[in-house]
Amino acid sequence: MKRRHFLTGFSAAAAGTGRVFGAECGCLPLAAAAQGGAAPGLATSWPAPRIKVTNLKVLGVSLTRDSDRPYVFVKIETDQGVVGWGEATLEGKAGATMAAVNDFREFLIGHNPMQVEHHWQSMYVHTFYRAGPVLGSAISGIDQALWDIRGKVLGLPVYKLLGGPVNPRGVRGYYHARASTKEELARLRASAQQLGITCFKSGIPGYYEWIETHRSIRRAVDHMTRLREGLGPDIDIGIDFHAKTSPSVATILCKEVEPLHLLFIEEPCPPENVKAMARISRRTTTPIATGERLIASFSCRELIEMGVVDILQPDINHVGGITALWKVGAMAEASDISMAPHACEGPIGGLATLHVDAATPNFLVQEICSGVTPEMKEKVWEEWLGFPAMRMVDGYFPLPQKPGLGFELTEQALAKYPFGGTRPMARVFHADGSVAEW
Amino acid sequence: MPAVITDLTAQGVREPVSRREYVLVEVRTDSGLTGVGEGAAQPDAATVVAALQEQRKTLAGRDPTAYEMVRPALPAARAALNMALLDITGQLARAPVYEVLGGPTRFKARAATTLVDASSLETARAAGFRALLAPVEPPAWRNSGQAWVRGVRRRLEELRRAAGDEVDFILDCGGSLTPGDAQMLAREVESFHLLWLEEPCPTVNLQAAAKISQESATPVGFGRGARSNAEFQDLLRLDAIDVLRPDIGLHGISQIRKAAALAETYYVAVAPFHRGGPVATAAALHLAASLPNFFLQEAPWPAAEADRRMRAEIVSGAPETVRDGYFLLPTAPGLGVHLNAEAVRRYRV
Repeated sequence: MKRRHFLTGFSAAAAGTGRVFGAECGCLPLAAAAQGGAAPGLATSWPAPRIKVTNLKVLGVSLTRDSDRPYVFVKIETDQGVVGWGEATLEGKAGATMAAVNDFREFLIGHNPMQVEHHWQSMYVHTFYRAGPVLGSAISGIDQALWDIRGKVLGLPVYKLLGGPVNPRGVRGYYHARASTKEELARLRASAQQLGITCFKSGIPGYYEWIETHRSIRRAVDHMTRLREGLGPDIDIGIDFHAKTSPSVATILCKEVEPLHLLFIEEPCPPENVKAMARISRRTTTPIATGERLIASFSCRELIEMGVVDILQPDINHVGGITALWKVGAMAEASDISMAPHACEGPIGGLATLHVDAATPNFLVQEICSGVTPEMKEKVWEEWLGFPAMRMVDGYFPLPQKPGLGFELTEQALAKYPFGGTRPMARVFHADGSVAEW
Repeated sequence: MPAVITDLTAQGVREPVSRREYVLVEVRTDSGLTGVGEGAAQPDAATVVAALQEQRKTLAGRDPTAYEMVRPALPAARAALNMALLDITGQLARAPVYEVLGGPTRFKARAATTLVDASSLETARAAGFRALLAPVEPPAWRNSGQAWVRGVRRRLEELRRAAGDEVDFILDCGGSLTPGDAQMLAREVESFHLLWLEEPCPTVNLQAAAKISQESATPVGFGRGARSNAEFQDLLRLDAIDVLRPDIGLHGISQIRKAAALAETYYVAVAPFHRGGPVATAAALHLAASLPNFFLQEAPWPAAEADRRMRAEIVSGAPETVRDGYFLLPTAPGLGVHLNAEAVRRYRV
């Protein structure tokens, strides 16, 4: 039986036998019970939607022809002329994500875009396999586009629907520290003071084997020490290990840099094994942050419950959009864990995440993968949207003021950057030829 | 222009027969829109009214849509303001509150109420309820043993005979049993297939409370006594519950949405309750229609006609309409209920 059958036809099946038959596997869903009659002012069945989804489009956008991370944008059109935009960018897997978005067409077309939680649940639960980066990113893009439509129909920016703003000044953010020498760091510190930037993030140099040499450890520690010395005591510094390190190496590094009082160390090891990360976390006072590869709120439960993390960093383009990012924030709040969402893809996800940040009481700081000086991609974003998206003013991202996600975008604007196809991300290897994490 | 809060009024009301009390708040804005909310009379109506009035200055001039940041210390006051601000947000957006929050996730909400006496089985059934809380008679002594356990089971069997198969029961222990009695009872009534065993023992010793669900297949509900989401979190982490039981009159819509987000990752459902009036029921229905993991809403259904009349009189609309076991959802903007000032005055505490 096709999926369409029990979505649109379940009441007919229920009226007959109360059960949907017709397949050999015996693993089909039971039909829902039939519904009662009507009463004035009260709903007895799904009310006739005042707005319907008419089309779902997925657009691949490559800023350069050989980009390994083309943006995947989702556009949802409605019969009321309102359109919603979302982002489903999954680095290195654009083709798979675009196909996954398209697989959800029949979940949405003809349906009420206002019911975002219902659609989220249906996409996640009825997919059966639930979490995963491709599905998570596809759901994320659709979820953001539905929230954009919802806000536009309801006449409010999304952060107001979520009860914000927590801080009317906007959303505190950080850029990446594109500096490593003493001189570069001194210049960066000066521009930070001038621009009101209060936080930076950096990585650590090189790739790391399972166990590391004294020299390699010294190099990483020196890098982090230089950052602290160069930026001074008043700027917060996060260091992204990017899961390049094993728990053994990460533990040594986290302990070595305790005196630097970093804001956090991010992804000290890969994300699948919570106990391994717990082992690192238990052995150091340096706060641990993780989450950019986690999908749906379910994936954060164990990290919170086991007291592994101090800061969670889900990415709105993978975790399941606004709906899922808000839920992670709600869970984290009960445990006094801070939120510092990841943002390293396009401008739509970036702007969407600001709305959730603005309504999250336990919000700490928002990433944007860029430097104090705008880069080529940000010039393109401004060309698309008409304003300097994801650029801070006095250390804060300004809150969007318009209803929905707060921007206008056209397909024509994107057409200058056609999809150049999917390309794998960087592949790096150790000296002996074995696979290294980057 | 965005609306700005100008003032609020709060007052306690009391049902004539049950003597049940709750506190109603009305938040006014310069746009002419008014939001209503309700808080539980905890610790008592006067304290909640005072806590709400204390917020008048703080709230004046603020944007009513920033509901997440209005958090007075007293839970009932916070809950009432949360409902009122969401009511205004919904009216500004010209949409039911559940739509503001991303719903509806359902078009009706399973309903339950408490049996108050022998005759109320028929009253509640006639009113449309198909799920009922049956209060358990507390044992005369601690650890009462077989005679008491069998007595409870007999009473349940009588209830089921009287009610037929279409009515389901929640056995409400009101936190009155010792963990030992509760464990024995939970095991003894397994084959009865209760919806769940409600608040079997006090939650002073969480490990003992958790042992109840470790020793039986009867689903267990806890949470009535909780005052924060951290307490719900503890119950979930200990695998102590199958049903989370927050009071909407203490936690409001937003905090329960957050507790529900937490519960969802434990595959646990939320079945909110309240001991208040029709505004709380309306708020609860919007909450229900915004949640993926809602199971049931418990609300009072007074046995006395005079009490039921009061509930109908103090608000416009009919938020407490039950049909075939389900509350019907409001469809008007905001919470969809407005206070009838004259009637509220008549029932003032």
